[in-house]
Amino acid sequence: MSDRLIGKLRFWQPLALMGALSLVVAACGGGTTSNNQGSLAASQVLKFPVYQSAGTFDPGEADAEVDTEISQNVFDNLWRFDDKLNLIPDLATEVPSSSNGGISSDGLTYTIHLKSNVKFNNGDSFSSKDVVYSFNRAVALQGAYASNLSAIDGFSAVKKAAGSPPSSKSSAGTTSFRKTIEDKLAANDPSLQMKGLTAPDANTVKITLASACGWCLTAWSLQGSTGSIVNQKTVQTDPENWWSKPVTPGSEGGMVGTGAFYLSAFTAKQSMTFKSVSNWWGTPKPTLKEIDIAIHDPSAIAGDVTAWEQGSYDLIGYGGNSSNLTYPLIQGIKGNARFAKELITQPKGRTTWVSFNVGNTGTGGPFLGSSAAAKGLRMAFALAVNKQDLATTVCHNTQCQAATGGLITKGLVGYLGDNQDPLAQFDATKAKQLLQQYDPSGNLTKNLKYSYNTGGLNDPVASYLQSAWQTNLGVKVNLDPSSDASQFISNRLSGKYVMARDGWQFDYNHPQDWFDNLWGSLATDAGANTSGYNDPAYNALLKQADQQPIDQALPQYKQLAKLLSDNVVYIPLYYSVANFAIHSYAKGAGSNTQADFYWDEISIAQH
Amino acid sequence: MPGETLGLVGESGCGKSVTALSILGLVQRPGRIVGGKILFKGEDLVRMPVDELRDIRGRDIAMIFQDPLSSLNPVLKVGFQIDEAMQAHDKIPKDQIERRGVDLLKEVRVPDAARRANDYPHQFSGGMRQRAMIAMGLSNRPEILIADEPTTALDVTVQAQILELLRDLNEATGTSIMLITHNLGVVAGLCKRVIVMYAGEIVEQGPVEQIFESPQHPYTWSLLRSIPRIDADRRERLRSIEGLPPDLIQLPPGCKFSPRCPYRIERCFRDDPQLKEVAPSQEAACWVTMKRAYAEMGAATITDTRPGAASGVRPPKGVAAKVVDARTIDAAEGPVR
Amino acid sequence: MRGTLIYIGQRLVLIVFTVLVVSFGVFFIVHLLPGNAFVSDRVHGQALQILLHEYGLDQPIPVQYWNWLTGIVLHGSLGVSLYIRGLPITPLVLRELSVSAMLGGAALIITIGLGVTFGVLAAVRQNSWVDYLLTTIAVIGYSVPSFVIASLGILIFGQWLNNLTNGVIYYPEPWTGTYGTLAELSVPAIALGFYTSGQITRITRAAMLDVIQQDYIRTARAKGLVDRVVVLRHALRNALVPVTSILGPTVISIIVGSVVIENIFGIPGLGKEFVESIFQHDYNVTVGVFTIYAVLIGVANLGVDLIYTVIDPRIRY
Ligand SMILES: Nc1ncnc2c1ncn2[C@@H]1O[C@H](COP(=O)(O)OP(=O)(O)OP(=O)(O)O)[C@@H](O)[C@H]1O
Ligand code: SF4
Ligand SMILES: [Mg+2]
Repeated sequence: MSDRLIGKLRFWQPLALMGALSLVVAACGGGTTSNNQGSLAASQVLKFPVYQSAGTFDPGEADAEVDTEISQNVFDNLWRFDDKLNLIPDLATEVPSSSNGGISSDGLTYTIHLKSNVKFNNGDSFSSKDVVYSFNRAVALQGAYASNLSAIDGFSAVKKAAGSPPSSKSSAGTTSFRKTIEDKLAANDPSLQMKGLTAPDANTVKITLASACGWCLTAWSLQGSTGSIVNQKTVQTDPENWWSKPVTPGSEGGMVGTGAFYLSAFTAKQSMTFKSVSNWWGTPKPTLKEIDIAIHDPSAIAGDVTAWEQGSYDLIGYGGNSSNLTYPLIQGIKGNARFAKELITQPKGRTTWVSFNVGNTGTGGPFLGSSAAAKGLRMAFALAVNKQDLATTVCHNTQCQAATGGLITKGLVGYLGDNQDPLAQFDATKAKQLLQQYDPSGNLTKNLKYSYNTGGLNDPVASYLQSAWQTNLGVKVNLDPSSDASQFISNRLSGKYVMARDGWQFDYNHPQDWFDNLWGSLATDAGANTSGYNDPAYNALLKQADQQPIDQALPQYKQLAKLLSDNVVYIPLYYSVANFAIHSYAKGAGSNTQADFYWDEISIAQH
Repeated sequence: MPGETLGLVGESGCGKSVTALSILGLVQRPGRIVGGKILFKGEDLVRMPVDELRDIRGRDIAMIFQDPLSSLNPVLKVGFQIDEAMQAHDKIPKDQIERRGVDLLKEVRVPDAARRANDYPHQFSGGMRQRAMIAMGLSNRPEILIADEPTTALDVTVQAQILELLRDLNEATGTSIMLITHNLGVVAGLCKRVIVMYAGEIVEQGPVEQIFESPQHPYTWSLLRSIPRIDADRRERLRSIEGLPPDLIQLPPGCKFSPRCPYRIERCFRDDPQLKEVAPSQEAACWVTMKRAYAEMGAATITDTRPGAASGVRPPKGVAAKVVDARTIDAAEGPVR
Repeated sequence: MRGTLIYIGQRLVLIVFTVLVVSFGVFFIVHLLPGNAFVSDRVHGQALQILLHEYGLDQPIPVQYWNWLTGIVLHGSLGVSLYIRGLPITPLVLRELSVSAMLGGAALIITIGLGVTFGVLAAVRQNSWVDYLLTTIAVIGYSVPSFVIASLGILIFGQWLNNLTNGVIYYPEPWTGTYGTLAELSVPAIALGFYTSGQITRITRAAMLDVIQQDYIRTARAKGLVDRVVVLRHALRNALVPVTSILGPTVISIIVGSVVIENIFGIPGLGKEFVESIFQHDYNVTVGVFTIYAVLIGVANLGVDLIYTVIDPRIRY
């Protein structure tokens, strides 16, 4: 034994010497290529900070990007978007289409074949039953994204059976809403089984839709959400809190999915650790062994940038925190020759605009209705804002860019094209003229308020708008900031503001995600139509578009966008741009308009 | 002198306590000893370095104070406070300290001493506290025990018990006792020798019987006359010394007693009399002395004791207003300020 | 002894009563605040109603309070977080309590250690430059608010010293680990303890000056005790009696101050949680933290009363 060891040492010594020498040479020569390039670092641990504790990783309930960007690495869907936002198979063997026979000719029946070698992180094998359970559960829970499954036949029936919450008068039930649902699902209670969701055999799922759906494939692929597959056994160990429990070998429960990583430690408001699943079923196998996530106060970001520069963190911005780097920090990184190249700028699928109250009669205001005057005034306020200048002034062109191609962000399906949105124009003369025409006395636009929630870019944007309207229209608009975002949002969604900051971050790459959720009768029914714009023509066209495959529906969605701009429902402001700090040795790390690249694509190169 | 019992008497405020404190260098700031000598075994305590003086405190010369309640630390156990005095010096072997503490309390007749050692001062009665103080003073078997009015704060029966205790201790252990009091009766009961102080200075000293029998200093004479006598006629007016003791900071020139002395002569206002032998082992500081007062001024029959009444001498003009530099004031064995 | 036990019992009953009143008050106020933990661009309407029901927020406030109370009494549970949905709060706040306790404990040690030392030194060296210096520091201590001291601390240790020593001596802020390093703890603990230490210095100095005049100090010196023993054992022990009397308010100052300090330094303790939970509408956490504060203050005051009996044997309950 010891002889062999010595032998080994003899062998290693010259090698180590050579290594050291080459290092010295490389350092002295300032060589651009190191002979280590491409080889992996010994420690495959990815470290980064995030700036909020997870709200919930439960796919049935998750409603925040910051949570799903992490849980997407634990849970899988039937298919998913690749880095370029193309749909590729995940748990299914292929993405169903009419050409491969996965979608029936009437577009109502989907036949999905599942991979047979899939295993959950706890060792359980995966089958069609898990898809049925996960989908039915998500619908019954009626979380924020339950509607992604709304086209499936039986959706409404299950939703109804799961029940609106029992009357508040009833005494505190010892069994919670969720517990009841889990119990019913465990008992195969037919009331919680969607009629259109069946499992003919262990590897096949059949889905029948109530009506044709052009957006379903993309909606079901939304990561860490209602289309994700969960493990019934672990969920039932603790229906409330299973998602925050680490998975410990040998015991049931914990955050279990079919993905390449599992939660191995969770300290609320402190840290999370994920580990890669050994012998994971999928390909390619993950290179990272561990992901260490520190949960920090947002105020800690400056210190974190220093820590990142010193190598304590591999990247900053993952986990939905790509808008946390402030302009001075971005400048600081750019100004440092060593790190300038490691600042990654990525436009995000998020648009910010101003919504006018056009349809909520209770709220009133000069912009209400479709009269020429109301429309003219809306137009005046829209044209009075120089969007390019706003992006320069407020975002220094690093954190956002002017929104000139419609509300659907550049890079997404449904983008109208640069400068195609007439509302994005800046025309102070015309704006002034319109105001003169429709409000000569100035009485209508007296005491106007612009409402917004404070924080981030919202404050400088509000000041910018105020001064733009003052200078270009001569109208003094009062600012109505709200430090309580939750209150602002609930007021806004119920249409209580005359003019409010509004915005949307796309969930999946399909125009339906925007037009269903923000305007029209669907948004009104959901209690989330900020502007109150609810036009029969819009509703009819939207219904038609939603039922068709995207290539046929796209012109109709563009028509919908035109309806919105013709009616001057909004003032487009900007598209968000994300900024990541990623060390170049963190190979494969990055992001597209939607989400972070998956952890299983990342490896730590020697550095 | 070992085994001696010495009384130090004088009116309240005449500097008895300060004198006692200055012996151990305990005069409170801003007071300090400005001159003079305090000799102990041939060494001058005034000029002794603090460290050495500290060794003498409590070990060779112990002191007990006027008010036993305020003189014991309220937050420490009585037994501990006694033991502490022994721990401060190496005289008593460490392992015997605790037992001796209890023994001492027994010795000073504190009942149930072993248990009482664990009591706090507030749990003791006044007499017991003073006994504890005495026990503390005796703990290191000092050569001298200075007792500053040990009985003033106590009622008469307890007073008698404490004095008896002191007498017994003196006889049994041979500790010299310096008893400070303004009560001549106490001195008569306990002491062999007595020092009479006036305005911070010794005016007369000598054996007790001799001084009681024939005091030579007019102040001593007045003091003795002012003792209320148990057998005196109730209607007989209690004779006290006319006038007030002088402000020790602003003393008159010449004899300090001159402003109140019935027998003063012209010289008394000019020159300060020094102690000189007036009888075998008796000294007094007076230009006149009672011998002469009896002989020439009819002191035996005097009833009017107002200043200058017997001699008819009035103070020269301006004397009372003259301010004397405080640094020249003499204390018992040295000026104190 | 029996008397003391009865006294403790009475005080505990009082604490429980106070905590009940305080917790109900906070519960009520917090639930009246507009907004809630769930609302987002995506959560509204029915989805929101479901969540509100799931967490019992659709019930009348007295019923909610009753449920909360029984949760504590029966299960020792402060309920679940609304922000981190379903997460039991008790372990979370206990961990944060331990962080705060460490910070508060360090501050208390600084307060008492520094305060008493300064006070004694100032008294012993009365009217010397030492006295003037220490009294000046104390006056600065209790007249400058802790957040100013905190900001100065960050400026001096986090910036100047960092630049001066090129990052060798550097105060890292904010705090990143759970418990922080000794270096991370130092500046906030000093910032927190400085104010109260000024108070203690002032009281200690005054008490020492008073005690030194007492007869028993003369007795102690007459025994031949060395100055150190006289000052520490005899004078200080007695001077601590008045010092103890402001220990209750001191602990309250430290608890209140810790809320500010933790938020300035980003220390993951109860104080930071308290502020955060209010902004996050995480009702149960807010109420839980406040309740813990109420208990802490009650227990601290009781503790001070008991320390009294140890320091001053004349006091008995
Ligand atoms: N030798 C001295 N030089 C200057 N001042 C003195 C001197 N002796 C005493 N005094 C002053 O007189 C005051 C009273 O002195 P002291 O306490 O010694 O009197 P006492 O005789 O013990 O009185 P009592 O019988 O009331 O205890 C002292 O506070 C001190 O200020
Ligand atoms: S007779 Fe003169 S010296 Fe003697 S006490 Fe009287 S005043 Fe003093
Ligand atoms: Mg006296």
